[in-house]
Amino acid sequence: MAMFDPADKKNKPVVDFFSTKQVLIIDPNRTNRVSIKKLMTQLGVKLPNLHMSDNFEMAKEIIDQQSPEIIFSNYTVTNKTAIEILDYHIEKVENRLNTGFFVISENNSPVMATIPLEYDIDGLLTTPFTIDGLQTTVLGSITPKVAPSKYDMAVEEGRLAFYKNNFDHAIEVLSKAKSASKKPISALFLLGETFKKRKEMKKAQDNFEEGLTFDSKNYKCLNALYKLFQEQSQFTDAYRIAKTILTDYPLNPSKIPELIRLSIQNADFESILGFASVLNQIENTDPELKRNISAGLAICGKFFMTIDKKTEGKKSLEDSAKLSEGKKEIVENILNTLIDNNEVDFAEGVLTKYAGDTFDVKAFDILIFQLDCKRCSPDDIFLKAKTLINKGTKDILVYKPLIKAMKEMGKSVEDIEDITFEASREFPEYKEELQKDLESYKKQAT
Amino acid sequence: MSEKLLFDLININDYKSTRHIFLSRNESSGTSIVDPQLIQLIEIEEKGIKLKMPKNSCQKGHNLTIFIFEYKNNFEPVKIPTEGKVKGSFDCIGKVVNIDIIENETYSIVEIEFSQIDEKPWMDLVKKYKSINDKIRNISAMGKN
Repeated sequence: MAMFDPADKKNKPVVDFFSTKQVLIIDPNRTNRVSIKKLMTQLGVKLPNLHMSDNFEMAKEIIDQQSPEIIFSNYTVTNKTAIEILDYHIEKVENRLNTGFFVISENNSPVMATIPLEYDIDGLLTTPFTIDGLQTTVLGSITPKVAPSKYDMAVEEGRLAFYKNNFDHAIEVLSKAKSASKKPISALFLLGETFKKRKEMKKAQDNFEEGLTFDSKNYKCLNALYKLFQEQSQFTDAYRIAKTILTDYPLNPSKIPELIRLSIQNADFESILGFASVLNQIENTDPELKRNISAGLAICGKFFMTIDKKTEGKKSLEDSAKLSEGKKEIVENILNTLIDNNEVDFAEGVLTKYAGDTFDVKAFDILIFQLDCKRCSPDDIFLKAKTLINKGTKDILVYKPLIKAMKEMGKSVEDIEDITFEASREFPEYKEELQKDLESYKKQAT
Repeated sequence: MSEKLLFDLININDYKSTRHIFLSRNESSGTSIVDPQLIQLIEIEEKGIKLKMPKNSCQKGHNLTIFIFEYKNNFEPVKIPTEGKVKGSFDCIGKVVNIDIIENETYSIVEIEFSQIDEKPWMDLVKKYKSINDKIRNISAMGKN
């Protein structure tokens, strides 16, 4: 593409479009802001209309005050993602035909292309920039908005009605819009989404499938169909569509865990072995990606344990713990799988080696106690639980095994009653369950 | 031919990012930058590049030789001789045509226009970055309609 010449007459509509726009560039990296700013001024944006922010809060303030139509945001901004900024922007500036939202990423791996596919994003700009590349991406997305067709405007009206839960109007407008284009895929996609919201699943499916008759590789329709089948527990169909998607598109990292589950549901055990063997070879500098890989490996590990492939299972679970990035749910899931499979010592090793910093002292002690409950005698469990309670580590996960151990040790009903009372006082939400348990024990004892 | 499984369709290379390591020798001042952390590629064009470099490492009009290495996690430090090439890299020589000095920062954005390039590897590198952009743009476009 030749360099954009703002003085060229044929570029006037584009320059006019940009000259009336407020633009916000959100990026902690100043060098990126400088490059985008340069491009924007070249396209016609006026300097007073260019706003910059290096953080999320300031960006929100600018969105509130200036309602910028065009936003460039780094994928990561002060512990938030550009998607959160996009959601906020959509809330504030409803008509998307008049807007542009671009994401900047320092990660230029092809998998990043899944971001604009999944969300209503106009383009992804990866660094290092090329002026030509920046210009092509921005103009490629914005030019159709400079002079929208009747079809585009009808689809936008339908989209707005859909987001405002005005489903009848959305269906009316989008159904009419279908005849205004030779490839009415957007209208069909939105019609499908609207019917899905109205729980008319067959009609939703029909519309997504009709969209695919115009372009069998259209991501939005394929992905919508995949989600619909997943939600309807039609796992064979979901598996078929997932394969169609993966034929042309990179695997979105957030889908790693659910695709492993889908492989299990479709008895595709070779894929699970494949996932387990390559997931930890993926370049994983991004914390979110690491967590997704970790969650995926935990599912592989659990699956291997259930089919008694313990060596593979333990390896996957350990690999998962290594990448868990302190995600408590993942670590607990790994430990529970190991405990359920009587791999208590291995679980303790994983816990201390990879997740020592994940939990505070109390939570860590409780997890070790849970492991002890699997390998110690009732007498030892009793002593360990008492020690924990005396030092203030009170938790239902301590009281329940303590009561169980006391029963096994043949402690008096009065002693068990005392502890049950204490546990019920500390955790009133368990009172009914604990009392019921006590009554049944009393009956047995008499 | 048997039907492909889900896993057969996953391309592990989709997760690999493309990066290079840049070091420099300032032919005008005789100083070198050998720490790869200190130079970052900002923009790339056929005739030149924009680099983020430490403030005061060069001035407008200085001649720089840029040594370009394949990216490695465990990049071994290299010595840059006062003249000539550096093993494991290819190089391009150019003039600093612009410097954006950024207030309160320890770096500047340095624009270099090349006068002498190692033609084949340089053009391959430019094509590589351009093709990544194109690939991402094309995949993204397949979702739109």
